[in-house]
Amino acid sequence: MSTHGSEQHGHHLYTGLDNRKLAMWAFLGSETMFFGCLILVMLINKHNTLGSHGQEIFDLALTSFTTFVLLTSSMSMVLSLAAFRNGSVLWGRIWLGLVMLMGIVFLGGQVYEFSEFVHHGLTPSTNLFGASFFTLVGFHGAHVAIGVLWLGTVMLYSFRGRFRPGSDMWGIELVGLYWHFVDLVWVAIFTLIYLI
Amino acid sequence: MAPHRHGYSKYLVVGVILTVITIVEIVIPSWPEISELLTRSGVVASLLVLSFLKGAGVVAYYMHLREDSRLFTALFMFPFSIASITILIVFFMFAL
Repeated sequence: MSTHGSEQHGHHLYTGLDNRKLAMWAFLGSETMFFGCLILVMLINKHNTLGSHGQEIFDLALTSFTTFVLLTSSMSMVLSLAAFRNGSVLWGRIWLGLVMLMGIVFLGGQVYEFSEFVHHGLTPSTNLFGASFFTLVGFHGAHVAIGVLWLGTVMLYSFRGRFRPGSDMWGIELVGLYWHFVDLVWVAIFTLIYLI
Repeated sequence: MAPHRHGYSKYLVVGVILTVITIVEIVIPSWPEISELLTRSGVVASLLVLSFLKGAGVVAYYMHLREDSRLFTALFMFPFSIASITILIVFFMFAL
């Protein structure tokens, strides 16, 4: 009996779980600590607004809209995975395309928000509030941007026949986990930084 | 045996619930009548609870953690718990 521990056609450890999914969850756990630190710093500097604006500069209407967009994109992502798993490649691509579109809309909202803040005198170098805010939300935006690029490659693979009915859907599942996590982080940011 | 079909309705229902929760989250601090009724502590507590419910919904249903191996839950929830507890402590110390 082989003691190698991996199946011939899979990527399983002794746990019987796919090591790609295991790695993704471990990565998301580390990302939780990363964003946790950035949120902590933001909370500490929430009232360090010397010389310029603080929370009153937030446009809650715009941020609410972008929050809805990101939340809806998360739903679209899980529907895409379900469609691919059901063998509906067309609908899988449609939902995936919607996720990408909503991600781009979200990023557009972030860029507009940042430009408005700079226009009103709040920059990363203005005060600790600005430095913390732009770092936290900027890193989140970078994660969204990476997610959009990743979704693009997954979409490309789908057109190359990668996710035909019966094939494994790891490519979609892993990008889905990443995208949902990005949404999860925004849930925390929206509540702790914008609303409270 | 027919292949297992992945239903969409569960995700749509969760999506609607998350949307409703988000609307409530936005209304609570935005409407003066509600925020005055709840006082600052009530607003903060309700927003924290609502965001926790949203996060739990995303993790459990969209990320399929509810149906998946407990090892994935442990891998994610352990650092998540540390981060959440630390954030809450710092929040009440500095940002309330």
